[in-house]
Amino acid sequence: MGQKASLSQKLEPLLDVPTADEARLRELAAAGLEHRVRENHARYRRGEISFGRFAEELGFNAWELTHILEEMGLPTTNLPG
Amino acid sequence: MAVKGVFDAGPLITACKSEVNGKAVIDYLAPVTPIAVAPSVQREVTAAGSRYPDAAVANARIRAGKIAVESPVPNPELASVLALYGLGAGECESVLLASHKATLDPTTALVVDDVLAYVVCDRLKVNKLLFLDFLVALAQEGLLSVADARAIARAVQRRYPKGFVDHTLRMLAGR
Repeated sequence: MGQKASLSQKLEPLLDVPTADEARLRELAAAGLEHRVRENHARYRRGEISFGRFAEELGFNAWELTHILEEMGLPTTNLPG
Repeated sequence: MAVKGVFDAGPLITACKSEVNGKAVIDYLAPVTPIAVAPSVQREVTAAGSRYPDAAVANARIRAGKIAVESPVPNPELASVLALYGLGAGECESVLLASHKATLDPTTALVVDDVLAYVVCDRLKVNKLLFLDFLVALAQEGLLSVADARAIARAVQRRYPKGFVDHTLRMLAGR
């Protein structure tokens, strides 16, 4: 009876992705992050969470999140008007 | 009596990101009134300082002692109320710090632009000011010239809804 493959042995082929696929995975990851930013931004704008909690939910700090929102063209304030 | 500010991360970013006549806004404010931040706000500055020029500005002012880093006195009752809301660690520490400092000096206010944190402060009767109102207060007290306050309000305008900036300019025009 052959020896069972370890978990890392099973995962190894999955990690060996061609370069084009790596780029696609990065695209998907970025799209997922963008979705989470937009989702939490809506909660922030509604006043459900503060800016600090918004940043924490995504694993960023306030400075990082400020720059990300600016790059995405989203308001960094939740003051009404 | 001069208003003193405990800055939440948002107003600190605003004051370090914006310039008037080539000078960071924080360098107009820190020389005229004490500015303090909570340790969690400082940790964010340190973490971001090597990546973002505005965080580097804040980091340098903290290292130079122009912005004080002060730990809040433990207040489990207030902390438990803050935990009821969707606030971050920085806002919670900043509210605790401002609340304690205001008991020692009632002219101390949390400078905060976040709606939730502002409303929570209001419910808790913790002194709070929007950054733009902090500018107005400094101008009213003669610590900041009206011209500088107006120039700063214009310099930071992209971080606020237009009405808030226009109202600030009107308040300053009345000085």
